[in-house]
Amino acid sequence: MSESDMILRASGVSRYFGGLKAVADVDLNVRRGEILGLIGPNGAGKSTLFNIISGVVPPSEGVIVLDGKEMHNLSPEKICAAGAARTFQSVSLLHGMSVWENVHVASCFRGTDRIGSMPAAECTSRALELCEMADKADRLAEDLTVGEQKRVEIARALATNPMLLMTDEVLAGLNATEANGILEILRAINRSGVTIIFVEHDVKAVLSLCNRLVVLAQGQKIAEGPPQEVVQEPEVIKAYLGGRYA
Amino acid sequence: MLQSFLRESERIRKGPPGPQLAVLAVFCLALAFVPLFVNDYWTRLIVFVFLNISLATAWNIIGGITGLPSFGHGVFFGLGAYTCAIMMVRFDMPFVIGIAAGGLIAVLFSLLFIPILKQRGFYFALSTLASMLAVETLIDYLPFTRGVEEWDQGWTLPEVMELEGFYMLFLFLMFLGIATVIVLLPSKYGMAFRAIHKDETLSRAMGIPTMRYKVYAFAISAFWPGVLGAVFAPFMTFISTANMFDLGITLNMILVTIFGGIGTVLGPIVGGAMLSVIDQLAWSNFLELHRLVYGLMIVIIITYWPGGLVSSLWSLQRWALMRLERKGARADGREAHSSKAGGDAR
Repeated sequence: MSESDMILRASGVSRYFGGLKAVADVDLNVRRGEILGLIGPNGAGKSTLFNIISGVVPPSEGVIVLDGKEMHNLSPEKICAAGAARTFQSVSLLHGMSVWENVHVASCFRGTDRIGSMPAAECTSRALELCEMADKADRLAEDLTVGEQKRVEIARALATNPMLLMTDEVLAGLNATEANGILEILRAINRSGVTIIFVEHDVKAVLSLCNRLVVLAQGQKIAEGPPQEVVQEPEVIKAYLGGRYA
Repeated sequence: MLQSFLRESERIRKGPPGPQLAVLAVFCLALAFVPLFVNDYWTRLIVFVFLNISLATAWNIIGGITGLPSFGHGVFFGLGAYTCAIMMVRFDMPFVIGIAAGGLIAVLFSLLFIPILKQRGFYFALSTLASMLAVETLIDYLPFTRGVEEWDQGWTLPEVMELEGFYMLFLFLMFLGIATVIVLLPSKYGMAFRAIHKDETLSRAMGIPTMRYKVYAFAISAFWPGVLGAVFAPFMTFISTANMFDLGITLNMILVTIFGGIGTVLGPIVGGAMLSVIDQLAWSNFLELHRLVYGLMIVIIITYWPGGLVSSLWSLQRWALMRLERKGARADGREAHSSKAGGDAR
């Protein structure tokens, strides 16, 4: 696979918190246009890896290259402008501001338009429509259901005009219908050309959505490959369920 | 009639800046005729109301909208006043140059606060307060600013215009200050300021260079007090650090904003006007206990209306609209009911 097929290349990434190795020497290669599932038990280092890629915490060691540009030394806002957007594990919206405003702030500060240039308002409307929240644009963010809030979060990430979208447990706390709705939206976003890294606990959702899986446990990568194969690997079953099930 | 007025006012309040600016312009134009009907005492008093509203409006940009509680904002007012005085008296410059220099020096000085803008909450409040005290001491100490070594410890300014002139100038500055906020709020800048207020980490994650926008917010909110101080100096004719760097000026900006409704366009306007009324009532009715009565009323109002007066006004407006609409719907329902009552055997 050539260099240009890779949208994100993280090599030898580590992060220590005091003596704790949250992420240890992880290599992560994300192909352009794929939906990569990142799974692992609690405390496996998924969120830390996300925080490193999005610049919230700098890596202790390692190199991260997004679309040919090194970005492990950049601030979160620069990484966002460079084309990597994310959602948060606990829903974080700007309270006291409407759905439209929440998404519009992101549009105002989006990086260069990758699909021709358009005014910020149009970018906002498109993101809201894709996430099926256009009819609730005037509502206050805090008045929405959890499922709707998650959609606004995705719309906001989308409004930054990313080439890489990273969702962190976006299905947590949703019922089956809401979760399916979100999966549909993510598929549509992927079809529009955005690469997705999907962190999730729900293995069924991961299997239905992702083209490829990476499994983390205790800060290390323990498996990588096609979803159906990866979940059969003894190492993965052991990490999830304990040694005697493997 | 009332219903459509309420609905229209709500629409303008939540709508684009154009109509809001038009309402503001009409309002200020009407105020321009007030000095024709009142005596000098009231004209002077209203000038102070304009000043309070303008200062609070400027503080609201950093303290209310961006969420960085500056407790030393009076420093920009004082610097503006001193700059104007020095320009006019020491360098014999015209008033206009004094005003421009006042605003400019305030903005330049605000850039020295960049390291402090990394702080939040109490730390930011304390650092800004400390900076103001430091500047006051410096001005008191330097001979150039007529501090310790010169006999009068302050500046006496030449008369530049009549009271009515100052009234118009302060009214115009108030208009410009409020218009700045109206235009700013829905813009990219205002959106960023509000986002930073709500959640700075999140703001960065969605691509806002938060530090740069905090500097913008702070500089804009320093500019207007600088200009206002520069106009205030010749209005007072004599200035000294005791009255220009008074902590009360800063506290008043904060109080007016919170009292009226922090983070809103109308808050500082309503707050400034109402506090002046309360102040006057307390003066005229309880001369000896004036501060006690004034203080008590403020504590009571902040305790029971923490969102400020405007939030109560808006709740009242929503309530009234709902009542009127329900009444209207009931009337419509009765009409519809009576018209089909004949055939419909329910």
